[in-house]
Amino acid sequence: MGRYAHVLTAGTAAALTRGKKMKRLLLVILVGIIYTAMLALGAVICAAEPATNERVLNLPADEGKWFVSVVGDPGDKRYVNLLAWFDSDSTLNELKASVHFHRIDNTSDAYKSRYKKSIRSLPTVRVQKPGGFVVYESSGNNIPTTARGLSYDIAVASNMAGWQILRRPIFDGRLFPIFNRPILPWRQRMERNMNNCDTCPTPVPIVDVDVVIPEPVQPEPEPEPRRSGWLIAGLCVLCGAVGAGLGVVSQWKKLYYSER
Amino acid sequence: MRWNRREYYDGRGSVETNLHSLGFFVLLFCVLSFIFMVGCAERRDYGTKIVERPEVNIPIAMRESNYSSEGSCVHASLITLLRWQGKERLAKDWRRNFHGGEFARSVAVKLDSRGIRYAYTTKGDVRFLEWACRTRRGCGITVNDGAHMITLVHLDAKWAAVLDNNSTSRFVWIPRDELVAEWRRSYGWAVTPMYSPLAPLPH
Repeated sequence: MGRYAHVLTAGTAAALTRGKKMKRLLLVILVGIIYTAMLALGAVICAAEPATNERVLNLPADEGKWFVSVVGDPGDKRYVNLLAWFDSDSTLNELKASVHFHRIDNTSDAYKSRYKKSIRSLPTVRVQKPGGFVVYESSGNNIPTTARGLSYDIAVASNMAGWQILRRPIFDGRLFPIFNRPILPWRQRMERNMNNCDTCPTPVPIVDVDVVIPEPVQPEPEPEPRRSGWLIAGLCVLCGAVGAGLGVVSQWKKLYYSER
Repeated sequence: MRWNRREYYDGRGSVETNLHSLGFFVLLFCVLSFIFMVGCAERRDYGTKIVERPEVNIPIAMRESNYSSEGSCVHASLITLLRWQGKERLAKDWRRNFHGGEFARSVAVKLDSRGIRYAYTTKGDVRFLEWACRTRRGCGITVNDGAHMITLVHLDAKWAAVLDNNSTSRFVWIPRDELVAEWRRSYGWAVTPMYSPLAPLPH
């Protein structure tokens, strides 16, 4: 605007030529537009910045929340899978959303300076009350082999500690949770079969067939009930046991009473 | 076997007694086998219960000291709190990108730009400090007439504990009223990220 300064400070209107008058008018309009734009920009910036001096938006009163910590080596596949369970399994995901959930790598300062001493082996899943009381912990090979097994174990432990994690009932007709613990190899196999169900038959829709109304026939005499093979085997074992018992008793009598 | 020999000598009801004992041992064997097969859930011993004082018991390795000659107390407090709240990556990012003096509004803009959840007040409302310590999050608070920020790590009815970013090796304990008065004199600004604090020590 410096180059137009002489115009703005020029002499009286009478001394101005027509062209100069026009220039002055245009300049005033231009300055007005610039000022208006600046004011609008300022208003927009002020509106964009937080107008209040406080950002207290429903501060969560979550001091009563439980803690779930998953600790492990980020290079360990089991640890990665374990973390993935908390996203893929609906129950564990629900649990994750309702507690303070922490993933703690064994390379982190938090692990080295705070939890290392209390961790037995990696990976570890630990559920704690707000005060620090450990409600559930499993680590290394004791961690259930499936997400469902883990969620059951956590749910049972939490229930015993007085907090129902799951809104739905725990025992929903499946096997009692204690049998989900993969202690022995045959237990692991059983759990895998039970939960993953890779070998389950694919359900096939029932095809309607033409209904044929049978001709009335003379009822045949009912066949004699077949004796089950198991029943016979059981009876044999029972007889054998009774016989052996009687034998032992008779020999016992012979041995001790004959000496008298 | 002792019970056999005794029965042999006195000779009273030996067969019944012996069979009864045998049954007991068989039952015991079955029970022990069952326990062995199923496994017995035994709770670990984590030692005696540790009541952490201060509530926000940040380990030394997680405390950030002032790192810039231009002033970085606000940033150091935020980095410490982010680490405590399990956001090490965000803390690293903040450490790499920000330093220098700050005001409440400028920090709010920066926190927004990084998508960090946070809460702050400049009204000197002590309920904010109580909430931050009760939920074990901690918060940065202004002192020295607003010229410095420190990290509040504990607040109870009598005492407050703070972590000064100029000397992070120890917690400084101050009477609660004294600290609150100093904070209010210093514009009453407090800020904290809003994530989950680390789990307490197990017991």
